[in-house]
Amino acid sequence: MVFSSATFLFLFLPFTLVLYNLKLFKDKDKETVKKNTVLLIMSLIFYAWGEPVYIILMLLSILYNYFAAIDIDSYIGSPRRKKAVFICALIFNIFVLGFFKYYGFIVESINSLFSLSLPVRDIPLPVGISFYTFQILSYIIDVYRGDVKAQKNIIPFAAYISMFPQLIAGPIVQYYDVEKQLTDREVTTEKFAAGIMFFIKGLGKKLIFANTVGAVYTEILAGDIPSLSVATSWIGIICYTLQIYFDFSGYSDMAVGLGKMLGFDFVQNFNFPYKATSITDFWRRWHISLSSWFRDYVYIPLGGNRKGKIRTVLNILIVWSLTGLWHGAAWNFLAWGAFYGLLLIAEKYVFAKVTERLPVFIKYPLTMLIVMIGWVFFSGENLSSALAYLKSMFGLYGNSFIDSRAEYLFSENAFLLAIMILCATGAFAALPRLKKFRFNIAVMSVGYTTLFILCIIYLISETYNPFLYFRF
Amino acid sequence: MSKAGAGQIICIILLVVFIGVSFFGKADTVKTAEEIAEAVVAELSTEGLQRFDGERLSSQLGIDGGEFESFVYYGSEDIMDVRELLIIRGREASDLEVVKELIEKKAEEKYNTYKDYDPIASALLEKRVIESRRGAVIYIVHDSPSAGLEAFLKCVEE
Repeated sequence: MVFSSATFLFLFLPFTLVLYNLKLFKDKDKETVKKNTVLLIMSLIFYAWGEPVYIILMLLSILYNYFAAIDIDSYIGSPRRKKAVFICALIFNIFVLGFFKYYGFIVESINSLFSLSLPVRDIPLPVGISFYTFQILSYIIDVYRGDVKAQKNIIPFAAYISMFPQLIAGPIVQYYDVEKQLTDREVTTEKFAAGIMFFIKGLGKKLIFANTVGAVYTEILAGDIPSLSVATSWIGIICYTLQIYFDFSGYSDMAVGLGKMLGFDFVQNFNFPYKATSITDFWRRWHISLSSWFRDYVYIPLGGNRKGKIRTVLNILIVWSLTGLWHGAAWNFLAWGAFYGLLLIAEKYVFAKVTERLPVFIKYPLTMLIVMIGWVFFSGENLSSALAYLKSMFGLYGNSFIDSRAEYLFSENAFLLAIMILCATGAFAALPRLKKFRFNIAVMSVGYTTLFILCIIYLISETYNPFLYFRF
Repeated sequence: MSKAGAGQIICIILLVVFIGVSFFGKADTVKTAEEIAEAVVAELSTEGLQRFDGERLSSQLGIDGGEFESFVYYGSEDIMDVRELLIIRGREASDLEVVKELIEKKAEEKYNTYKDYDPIASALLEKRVIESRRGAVIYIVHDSPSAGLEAFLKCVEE
């Protein structure tokens, strides 16, 4: 089920919120148990709506890790047994993710590398597997490290893993961030109102902005890539750059908003990444929950930057190759991850002093240029199509610089793109007049209601609007 | 052994069974081509396309529709409109592999015909999707084939 669908907006969400907030018990603890139970049941229905078979896989993962964490916690006096259970749990989770996400990729790669013809079976990717497996891993690792206690009650634990607001496309909520909230949280009027605002903002980002420019990019891709003019190729990748930001950050805003409506405070996943002035800065602002996960559970345990320059470089490359592969089982994602790994290494060790001295008006466009080149790898169906698009962007096919199509696309979309760029870079919020302006409740209410109505109009006129990050 | 340890072992056994069933034991879908097409068309614009019978299918793709359990075929009367949607429910899995090869061959021929003088048509043909799952085959030449493919996969996996 997609957040930006009529079924979710007018059926699932209202029903869940009514059931969730229906006060059945005076006792706060009993009420929390009821809330967690409702949350768990509704989350399972939400998942089963699109994945009736793979819900079994998610339930097995939940059960296994619930028992494993209790086992790890109980072997405090026996470090070897504790470690053995922990390693088994790691293998279990990595195997589940590896098998369902990477099986086809691994077999196909072996076949092409060694000219074999091992049979490849189509295994559909279980939706959200990358996100919930990473949440489970963070929990198991934290229990092993002693940072959190194992959750003895299966209901809050299962509710944490399967929580519908962030189950399908994040943000990746680490257990220690919500441990207390799972057993003690409150839905206040202010929090609920803030949740609604976050949700509507995210819905608008997705339906009004992301889908509109996404259609332009899809149309450009439908043409013959080598015959695209340089300008058309650039308009296309600018559209995709904006689409992926508004699509993914829109989903994250909706998840944060839904979390607030249910009494949770989730971490923010984005902080205006398109105003970054370096690649390091960009990754501090983009998909923050994933970057934090890799930092806490891969980079630092590998030694981080504490074991010398060579080891640091190696650690960065490992982390970024894994980040690329996390996004998809394909060579273009690996290339995308390695591209960022190499850039971060270069920024840290080769160009550190140069970039420090560069003025912002040079650093900013340079960063955006690199980010857009990165998105070419990310959006491509495969490595060769990404390279073809890149060649077209730089006129390496001998394609014309500008044509009537580019002029048409520009004149049709320039206004929308300008608004989106201002929103994506936070320039709107920073305008001196807007900064001084204090919005009162009435203005906000009218504004968000109008935005919601606008979203519904867009929703009705569209037939298909998947979130880009659903495929991860 | 602790209760938690036993729980883990049971989960591992169930996982192995689940993988075995989902990997090796996929039965064919019970849906007819008509039902699958209905789900696909709901996600895919068929404006300007019309539904054709077996004769047209045979002339366009060289496939005898009568050999299969059922099929649904959409195409266009306009020769410059290359959009097509075909869904076939086969009787045997091996039939579908042959069909896939046949369609692929025809699609490649068509692509080569359009390649040099109609970039939009050839781009659509280049993006074509041919997929088989659980006893059904889908062939789409469309602006957004992924939407149709997703609906197809969802429908046959239900």
